Amino acid sequence: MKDLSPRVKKNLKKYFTAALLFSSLAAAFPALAPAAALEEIKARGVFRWGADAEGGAPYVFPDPRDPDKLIGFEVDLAAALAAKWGVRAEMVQNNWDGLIPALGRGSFDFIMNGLEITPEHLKQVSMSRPYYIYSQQIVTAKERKDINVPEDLKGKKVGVLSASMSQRVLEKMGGVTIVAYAGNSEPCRDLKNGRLDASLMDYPIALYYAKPYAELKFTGKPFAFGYYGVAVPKKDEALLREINKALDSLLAEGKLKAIYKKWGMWEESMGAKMKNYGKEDAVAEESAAAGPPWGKYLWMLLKSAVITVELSVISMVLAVGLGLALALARLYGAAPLRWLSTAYVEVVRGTPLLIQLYILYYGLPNIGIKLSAFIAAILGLGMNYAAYEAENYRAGIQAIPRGQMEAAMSLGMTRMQAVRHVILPQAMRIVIPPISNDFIALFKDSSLVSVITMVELTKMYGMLANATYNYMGLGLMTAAIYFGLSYPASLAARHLEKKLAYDHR
Amino acid sequence: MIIVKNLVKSYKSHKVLDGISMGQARGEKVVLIGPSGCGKTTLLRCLNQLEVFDSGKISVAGVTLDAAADHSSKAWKASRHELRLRVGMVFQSFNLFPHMTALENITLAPIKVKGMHAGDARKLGMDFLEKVGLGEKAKFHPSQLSGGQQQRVAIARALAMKPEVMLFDEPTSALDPEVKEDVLGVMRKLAYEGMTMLVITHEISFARDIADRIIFMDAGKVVEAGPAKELCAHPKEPRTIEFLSKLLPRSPKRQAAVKVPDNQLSLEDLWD
Repeated sequence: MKDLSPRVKKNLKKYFTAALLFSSLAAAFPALAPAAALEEIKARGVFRWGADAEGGAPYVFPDPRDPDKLIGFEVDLAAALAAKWGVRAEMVQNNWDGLIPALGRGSFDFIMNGLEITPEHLKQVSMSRPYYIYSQQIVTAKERKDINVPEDLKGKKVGVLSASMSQRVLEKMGGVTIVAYAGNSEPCRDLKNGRLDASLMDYPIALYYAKPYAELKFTGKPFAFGYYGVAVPKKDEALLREINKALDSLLAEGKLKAIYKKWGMWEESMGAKMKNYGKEDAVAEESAAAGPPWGKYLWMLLKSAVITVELSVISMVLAVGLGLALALARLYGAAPLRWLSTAYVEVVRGTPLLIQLYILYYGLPNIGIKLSAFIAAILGLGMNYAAYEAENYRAGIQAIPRGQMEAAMSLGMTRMQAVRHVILPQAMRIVIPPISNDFIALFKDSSLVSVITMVELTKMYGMLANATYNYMGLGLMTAAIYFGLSYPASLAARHLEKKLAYDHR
Repeated sequence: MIIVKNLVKSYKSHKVLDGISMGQARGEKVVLIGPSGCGKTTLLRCLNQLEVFDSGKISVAGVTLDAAADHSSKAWKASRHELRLRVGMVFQSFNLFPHMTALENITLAPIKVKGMHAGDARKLGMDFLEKVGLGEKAKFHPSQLSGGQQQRVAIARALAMKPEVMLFDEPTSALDPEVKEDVLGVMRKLAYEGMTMLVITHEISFARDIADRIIFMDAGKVVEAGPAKELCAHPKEPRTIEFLSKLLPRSPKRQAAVKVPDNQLSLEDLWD
């Protein structure tokens, strides 16, 4: 089960993120979806529920034995609801981060995918009585003795699933160095690698992702209880009543218990807690401040923009230097050098940056090389872009007429002197536009490194937007910061280009 | 000063140089003529090792290179370097470095190759720029100069390395007629000063004026060689006759140029 989140899947996810952000923006506008009362569902013969199969076990996930089929306790729950209403259940795949906006757009009738009942969520959607009570579980390496209760996490490096309840619990606690991951298997791997002191996970997630690792253990009792509820659009009160009725009777009939027992998620105390649930139990998180604290958001975005700039500039310096060496080796080197350089360019250019980042960060520890996320990010971006820069240089150098090299050699210069004083200065001018173009591309590509836990500008936007559902305002703010940084860069490139111009005609 | 022995150079199956032998004394001016593709440019480039030859032997300004020697050996590379230091080359397309000023074009090699101090190199560069009549253009980039001016800078650049032999590969064929004379004037001056020169040109009147000898090449071989005036006036080989007859009548202006007195030239007369 621990292999349910393979790299391939994660990569796909990232590529979908752009599309998701876009659709989330659209969702910020008032939705005009039709009300979906139970009668309508019955008439249709099918209800559609939104979930993200990438969220993984044990919620909704592809059956390892038959990946075409989705399984999970929520799939069973949906089947139970469908049986109750005499209709079919149809799961609609949607990125978890975007479930609520998609519900607003009418992509499905309701959400049932580990969505916590919190005041924040209740501001966006109406939520049913809980169908599951979850808690937080601390996971550490087996030999770790100093972490036993939640307070012990203070001052430690703790991994969480990005934008999850675990992250919010730690943020509220304060004093913890939080490392946010895009998936659930990565923090387990980093615990094993020793990059993390501990990881905090929803109990069911811990059961499926951390338990199988012999090197890891559950520490202390579950804490910070919370409730999963079904979410419907605010105006669909009629549907909500039907869902509550159905859940009540599934609980009374023992069907809920049966489902959770099947998945190993049942705790005896859960039955009573669910039965006695009242609205006031909704996890009282911090009550939202009056109006969004824009100044604070801007400050957080700007802070993460510094990371983005650091990442881009340092990795571009690496790319430009390494790229030049590669181009020179290919054009002027001895045969083995030439061959190596060509192979480097083809391999690096022909494989996705994401895979390279994964190998650098999660793969190398297997052979004993543990890079920090920052170093791995810089190496990944720099080495990847070096392949492209090498080709830029090569094109630039080859554009210089042969006569230049011949003239230099006829004056007694060595090949390397000629390259340095005659060829490169001219090639530089040719390659500045494509290189500055690549720099701007790298600047934006740097957001990919969030998969190896770097919180840069796009990641910070994602985290803030997920927490506040303010996709529009924050999105514009983030875009403005990106533009504000990249536009001066392209102005500087143009200036440099002019400075290097020697064609004064 | 130049000895070429049985030089052979092929591109794939095509023999560009087919056993060329020739010689040139110190201070002698030789003009190479021949139809395009006859191998004259290749011969010139071999003398500067911009081309590697397949067999035969050259000896230029005391440096001997034999095709049979190991081209990757240190000794061979050292000889090649020495050869290039003693031989100056002027290209048809000037090949000035466009990112540098006229002066920088001239001082680059003395500084980088000979380790000359920048100040000394600048003085030397200015001397040569003035010698070719372009002292006031020192700070101009090649793109700001006319073709004739560019070629004169290129000549100054080669001269600044103090070569013992100057090779000219069709130095005026890329130039407009009105600026050709500027370049030819500089070359005349150089010839007058006693420089050893091997020149490829179609300017037959110029050849007649300055050349001690003319060598006519065709199909990779020397067809005919002899004192300039005699070869022009009384070519013996049918191919030489045919070639010269095509070259001469086509350009009446060139005929006029012949009238320039060929002895007792004062330097001042040569400008413009």
